[in-house]
Amino acid sequence: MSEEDEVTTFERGSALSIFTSDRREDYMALTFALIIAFWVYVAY
Amino acid sequence: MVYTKKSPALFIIGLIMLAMWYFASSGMMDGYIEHLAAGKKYKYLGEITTLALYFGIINVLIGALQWFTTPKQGEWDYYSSTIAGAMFILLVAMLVRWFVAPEVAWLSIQMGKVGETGKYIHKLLGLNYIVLGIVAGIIIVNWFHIPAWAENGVRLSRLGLKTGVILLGTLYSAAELANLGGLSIVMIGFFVLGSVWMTLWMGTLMKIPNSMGGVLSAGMGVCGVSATVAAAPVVQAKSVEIAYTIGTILLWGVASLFVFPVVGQLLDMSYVQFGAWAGTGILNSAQVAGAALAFQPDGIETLKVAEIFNITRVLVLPIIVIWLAMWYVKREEHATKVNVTEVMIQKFPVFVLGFLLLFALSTTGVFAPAKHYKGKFFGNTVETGFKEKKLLKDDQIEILKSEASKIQRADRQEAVSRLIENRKIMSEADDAVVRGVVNAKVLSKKAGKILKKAHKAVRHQSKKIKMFRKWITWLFAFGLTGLGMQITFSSMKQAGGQPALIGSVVGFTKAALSLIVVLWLISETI
Repeated sequence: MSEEDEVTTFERGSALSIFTSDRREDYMALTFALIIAFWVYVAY
Repeated sequence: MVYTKKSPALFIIGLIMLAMWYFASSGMMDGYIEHLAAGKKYKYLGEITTLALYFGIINVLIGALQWFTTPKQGEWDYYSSTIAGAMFILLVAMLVRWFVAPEVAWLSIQMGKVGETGKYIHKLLGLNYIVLGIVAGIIIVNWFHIPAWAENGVRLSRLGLKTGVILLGTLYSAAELANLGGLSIVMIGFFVLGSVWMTLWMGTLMKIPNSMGGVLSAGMGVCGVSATVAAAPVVQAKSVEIAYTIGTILLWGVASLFVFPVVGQLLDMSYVQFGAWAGTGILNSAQVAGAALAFQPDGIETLKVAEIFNITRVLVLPIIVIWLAMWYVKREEHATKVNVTEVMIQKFPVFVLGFLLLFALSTTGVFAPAKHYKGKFFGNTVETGFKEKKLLKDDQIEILKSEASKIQRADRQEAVSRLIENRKIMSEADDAVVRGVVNAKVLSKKAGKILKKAHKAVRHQSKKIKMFRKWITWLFAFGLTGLGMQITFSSMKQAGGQPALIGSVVGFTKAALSLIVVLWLISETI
C-alpha cells in the first residue's frame, strides 16, 4: 500500500506531491539543496 | 495529457511583484511602510526591492510564454505546469510577510498588552508571517479553492520544506549537535517508543484491527504521514485505515501548530525548551517546523532545536518498522511475511541523510571558515577590531552585577564575570555561553537585552551563513504557506471513530508529558 493509492486525485504523484514517490521527492530536494549550497559557496 | 494551462495567471503574478518592487523602490509606498514599521525600522524593504524584482521579471517572461504558446505533451510540460502554482504560493507568502503580518502587529499594538502577560496579542497568539501564511493557505483552499493552473505547483510545498531541512544542516556546529543530540535521543527514545506502545495497547483494549492499530501507532509515534506510509506495508494496512491515520495526524498537527506557540509564549519558554517540546510533542514534520517558526519568526534558533528532535525521530523509524513487523506477524498468524529490510530501504526518508551530509560539509568550515571568527572581534587592540563605543556602559554593568547570582551553572557564571570585568565578550567560547544564558531566560528581560547587545558587538556571521539563513527562511515560508493550501477540511474529516479517539488520547498524553519533561529537564541547557 502506498501513499499514492490512498490520496490520489492526480494522474501523476499524489495530493501532497508532484512526484511519483517520496524517494524521488527526497532526491529532488537533495539536488536543489546541493545546487543552492554550491551557489552560496561560490557567490558569497 | 497536457498539464500546463494556457492562462495569463503567471504573467499577472509577475506584474503584481513588479508593481510591489516599483512602488517600494520609487518611494511611493514610504508613508505606508512607515505605518507598517510602527516607529521601528521596516525590516523587509531590502527584500521587496530585490526578490519582488527578480521573481517579477522571471514570472512575466515565463508567464507570457505560457500564455501565448501552446504546450506540448511531455516531461517539460509536466514540470513547467508547477511554476504558476509555486509562484502563487510565493506571492501569498510575500504579501503576508511584507504587509499582512506587520499590519496585524500594528493593530495588535494599538490594542495594548494583554492583562498580566505583558505581551501584545499578536506575540501571544503567534500571529506572525508563518502562522498567517498557513491561515491564508487554509482560507484559500477551503473557501476559494485552488485554481486549476495552480494545482500542480501547490504540490511542491513539501519539496520546499525538505530542501529547507537539508540546508538547515549547514547551520549547526558540532558542539551544538552533540549537546542537543544526546538530549533528543533520550527524549525521542522515550516518547516515540512510549506512544507506539500506548497506541498498540489502547488498540488491543478497544479491539480495533491489528493493521489499524499498527499503522496508527507509527503515525502517532514517529513522524506522521511518512511513518504511516512506511509502516503500512508491514502491518498490511488498508486504504481506509491509512486515511483514518492521516486524518488523525493532520487534525492533531493543525491543532498543535496553533496551540503549541501560544502555550510556549504563556509559559515564557526558552527557544531550546520550545524547540525540544515541539520536536517531541507534535506529530508531523511540517507542523513541527511551522510551530517552531511561529514561536520565533525572526530567528531560527528554535527551528534548529526542533529539527534536531524531529530528525532524531525520523532516524528511529527503522526500529519502529521492525517492531511493528514482529508485533503484527505474532498477532496475525496468517499474515503474509513482508521483507522488512526491503521496506525500510525503500521507505527511509533520504532527505535526512542530505541534512547530515550538509552538516558534515559545514563542520569542515567551507561555509564559515574559522579565520572569519578569530581575532578581529574578540581582540582588544584597535588593529584587531576593538571599538570603545561597543563596550557596555556603567549602568548596564551594574544591572548584570545585580543579577549575576541568578546564574547557577559555573561556566555561565565565569563567562558573565569576564564580560562584567572587560565590558565585552572576550572569546568565541564565552560568546556561545553568553548566548546560552540569553536563550535560557534565567535573567530579567533588561539583563537579557544587555547580553544580546554584548553578543551583537562581537558577532560576526559569515556571508555564506547569512545567505543560507535567508534561503531557509524563504523555503520554510514557501513550504508552510503551501502546506496551508493542502489542509482541507475534508481531509481532516477523515479522522473519526475509535482511531481518532485513540489518537487524541495518545497525542494529548505525549504533548502534556513532553511539556512537563522539557520544563523539568531543560531549564538551562545550551
